[in-house]
Amino acid sequence: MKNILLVDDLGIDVMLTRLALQEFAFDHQLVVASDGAEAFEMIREQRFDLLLLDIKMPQVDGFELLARLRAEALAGMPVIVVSGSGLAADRERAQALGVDDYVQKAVDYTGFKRELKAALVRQGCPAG
Amino acid sequence: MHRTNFIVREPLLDPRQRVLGYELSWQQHDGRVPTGLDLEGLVGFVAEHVNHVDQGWLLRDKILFLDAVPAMLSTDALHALPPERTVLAFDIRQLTDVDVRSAVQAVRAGGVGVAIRGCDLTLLGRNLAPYASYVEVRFTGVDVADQARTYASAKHSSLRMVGRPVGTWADFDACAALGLDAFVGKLHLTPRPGNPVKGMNPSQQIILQLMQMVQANDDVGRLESVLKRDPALTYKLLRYINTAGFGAGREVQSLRQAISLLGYAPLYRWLVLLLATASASGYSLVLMETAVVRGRLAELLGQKALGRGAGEHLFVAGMFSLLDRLLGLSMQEVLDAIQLPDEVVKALTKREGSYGPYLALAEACELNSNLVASLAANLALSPSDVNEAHLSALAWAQSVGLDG
Repeated sequence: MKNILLVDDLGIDVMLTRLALQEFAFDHQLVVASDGAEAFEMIREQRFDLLLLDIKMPQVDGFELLARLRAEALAGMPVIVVSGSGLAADRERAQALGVDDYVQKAVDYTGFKRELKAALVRQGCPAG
Repeated sequence: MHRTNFIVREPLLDPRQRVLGYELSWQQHDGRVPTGLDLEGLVGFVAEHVNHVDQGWLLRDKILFLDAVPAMLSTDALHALPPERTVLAFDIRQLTDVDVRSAVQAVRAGGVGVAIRGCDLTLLGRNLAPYASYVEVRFTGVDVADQARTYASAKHSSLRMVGRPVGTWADFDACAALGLDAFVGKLHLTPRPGNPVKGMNPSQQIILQLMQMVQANDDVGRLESVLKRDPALTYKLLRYINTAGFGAGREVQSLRQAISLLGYAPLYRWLVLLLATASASGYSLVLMETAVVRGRLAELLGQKALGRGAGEHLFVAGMFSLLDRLLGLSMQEVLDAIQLPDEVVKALTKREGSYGPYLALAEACELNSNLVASLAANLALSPSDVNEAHLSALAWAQSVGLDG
């Protein structure tokens, strides 16, 4: 079973991601944090197999969380950024911080699911 | 869409068992899911038929829940509906697009209600309020109370929760006790157990006597003397006659005046209505309202083919088809107590005769039944005919003021 941490402040995005993961029907447990600070504490306390991370969040955003994880040598798990931003600068910055995959939130659910599924498979999650 | 398919409705109840509103949707015919364009058309059709140019919103305090797609958010017809009485129900998957979310926020800011389906309710409270005024709770399995408990504990104060499908009154009670705000299910056809009504009370006995006298064209003076035995009945009868547009063109102040203006036949329908609503306890408002809508819908559906004269009989057939449940009697006991024309009896017992098919069609509109299309086709009624009659009956039932 994959232990996944989803970090996103928006309820609708959390629900959509959770729904997509359920529809992929692979064995997983999802834990949700609503910002980078909360996620940081969770990662210090338990091991996750995968991090699904939004970038734009209040207080500690996704970039800052990634920087803190690297500084504390806690960035051992694969990281998939799931962001509404399609800016090249955001992608480049994410890559520089060691992100493994970048999923841009699509305008329709089917597209979002397809992109997320492809990223999960690339990161070794058997998303059926 | 209104020319090719049928509107079906489900009532929404509040925790006090009052009919909060109706959910309207296109019947999913032959497994075909309504397209975005179909659903966009639903708003337009509803706006055209329940929002009167002069009289405004014809459904009084009722809220309409409409199956929605993002295209509805910018349709002109949406602006023709009163925002405080309109709730657009979206599947959460439709809110993936940030532009759609912005449009949803804009209509929310304008006062239109938005319900979200498919929510993970353990995540309620995470910034849903800008997008939604309702979230829909889907019940599955047998332990509805247990599920409702989970949902109630996750409830966010600014969001109202709609439970579906709530199929029994026991489930309804469990959900109401746990703080859910509205319920969708088949309760409109189920008498409320506990404190059961059985048979007719003294007021209903008087009404029954009056019905028999009206059928026999009895003298007005004799009718008045029977009615005088229960002053509350007189008041209620005149209120019904005046609020629902008896057609007299002015306020009717006495039974004698009503009969002299319009004759005996229309009076019978108001007595049937009184009979159904004169129970002191145990009835459910939703069952009563369903009976009124059904009666009026059967009447409107048959008007074109059978003429106005048949209207009273069709109305009576529709009302009587739920009178057994309202009175806690078997249909045979009802028919033994009240003399009805043979054609009405045939409709009630077998859905046969000249009125039976119209009654069956009116019933099917309450049940998202696949029979709606074939029943309408057999009566040479187009979907537009049925849909217009359906919304008109819904509006008429509000004008009667059952819970007023």
